[in-house]
Amino acid sequence: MIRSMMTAATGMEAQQLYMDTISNNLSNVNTTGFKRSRIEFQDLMYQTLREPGVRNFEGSMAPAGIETGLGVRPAGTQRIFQQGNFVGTENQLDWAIEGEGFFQIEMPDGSTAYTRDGAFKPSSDGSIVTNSGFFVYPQITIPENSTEFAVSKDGKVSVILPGETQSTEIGQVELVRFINPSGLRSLGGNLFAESDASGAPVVSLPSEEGTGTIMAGFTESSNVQIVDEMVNMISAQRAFEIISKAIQVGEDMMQVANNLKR
Amino acid sequence: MIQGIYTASRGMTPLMQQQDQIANNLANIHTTGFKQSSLFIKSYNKFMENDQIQPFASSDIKADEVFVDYREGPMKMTKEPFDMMIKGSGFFTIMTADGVQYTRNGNFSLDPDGLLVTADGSKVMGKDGYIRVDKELPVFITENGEVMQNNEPRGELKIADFEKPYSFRRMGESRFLPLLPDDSPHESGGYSIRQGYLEGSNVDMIRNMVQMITSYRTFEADQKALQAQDETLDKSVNQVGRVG
Repeated sequence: MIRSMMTAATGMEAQQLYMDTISNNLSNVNTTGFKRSRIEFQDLMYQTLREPGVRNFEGSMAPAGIETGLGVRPAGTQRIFQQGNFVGTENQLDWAIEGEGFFQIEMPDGSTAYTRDGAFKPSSDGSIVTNSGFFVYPQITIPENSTEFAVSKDGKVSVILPGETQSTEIGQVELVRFINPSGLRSLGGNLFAESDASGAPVVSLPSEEGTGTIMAGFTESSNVQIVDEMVNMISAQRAFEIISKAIQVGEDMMQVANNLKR
Repeated sequence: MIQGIYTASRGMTPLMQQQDQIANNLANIHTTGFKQSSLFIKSYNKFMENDQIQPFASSDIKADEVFVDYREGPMKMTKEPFDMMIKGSGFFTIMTADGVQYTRNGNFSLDPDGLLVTADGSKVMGKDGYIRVDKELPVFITENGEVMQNNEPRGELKIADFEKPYSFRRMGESRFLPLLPDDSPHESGGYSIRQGYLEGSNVDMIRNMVQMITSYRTFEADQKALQAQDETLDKSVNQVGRVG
């Protein structure tokens, strides 16, 4: 009996983790560049109580035997890198990527992080930084008193310098792509880091090699679908409930067994 | 008389094992490609058919075998290009660390080399070896399992099928292995691959709930039967023949 209760407990834990994933998705429904996660479950190993294929007392062969599953475990959370919707902001420093690419961000420790959140800001010296103040790589500095800041679809950044009438190119945005973006490690703050599973980043210019194009004046909204998450939430909650019933019945059966001797 | 107590108690053990099965089914209510199972319970009545001396001597019941329900689970749309579902009969063939195994869980992705792999990194087998795709191009999977990029085939999924009724050992992680080594896979005829879908768990909440109720009540009834025998025994031991 203890076994069925332990098995059911793994199920309740799994549903709880499912709820955690849904809650995180829902809390980030308005986070720029957020990518929702999906949790995958796998059944645990099976305990063989009677080997299949042994002959039973009637002399016939039991084809299946008795094996009892020991529950469930989460196999992993998978990030779904589907494109979010574009939201117009009229701000030339808001860049959305239409395609699969990522921006490169220089972290204070010297490593490189990757993000889809292109809501950038100018720093005090004119460098383009993220909301948290990390530099966008390759670094681009907006000259003082320049006007008409613009970014083209292929990532060329240009301004009109003071006293000039023609625009000057001051930088080029680079994007990277991963063979398996679902394998990226989440750092929080809309940032990702490469891992063995994601593969090495492939650097290229926007609109080349399928990295996608830059859309200035837009941000990419979160790709969380509220309705889907709500349905998942209902399903997780009901599953949690019914598994708790299995534990309850297990307990009741134990009680019945205990009451055998009055 | 004492035999009756054993009979009733023997009835209780398989009901507990049945509860183990139900708990496992319910725990896996959200496991992709999971197949629910239940326990066949068999009575030993056969033994006493011709026994004139003790006609009711032994009607023990015992867990006989686990029955796995291989019916197809519900289709869940995910829109992910590497999620696949087999509609119809058959299994994906995958190469794990322990050799070839079979699964209905089509939650695949690409490894850094561009090979099609399962969630834990085991390679998915095609008809001619592993399936390698070019990450730069969109992948399209035809209904019969051909992996296409730019209208060029990159391999074809190996969908294996076995003699029915299936006799598999469940390996965990929604994987199956044929019980008998000579049960060799043959090509499945009746299937179509749906890209962007996964096969949900086929656990039937109501069926499991009802089974849980019936096994619990039977368990209770068995307890009562045992207690009744106990009372009768009590009477015959302690009261019969007592004077005054």
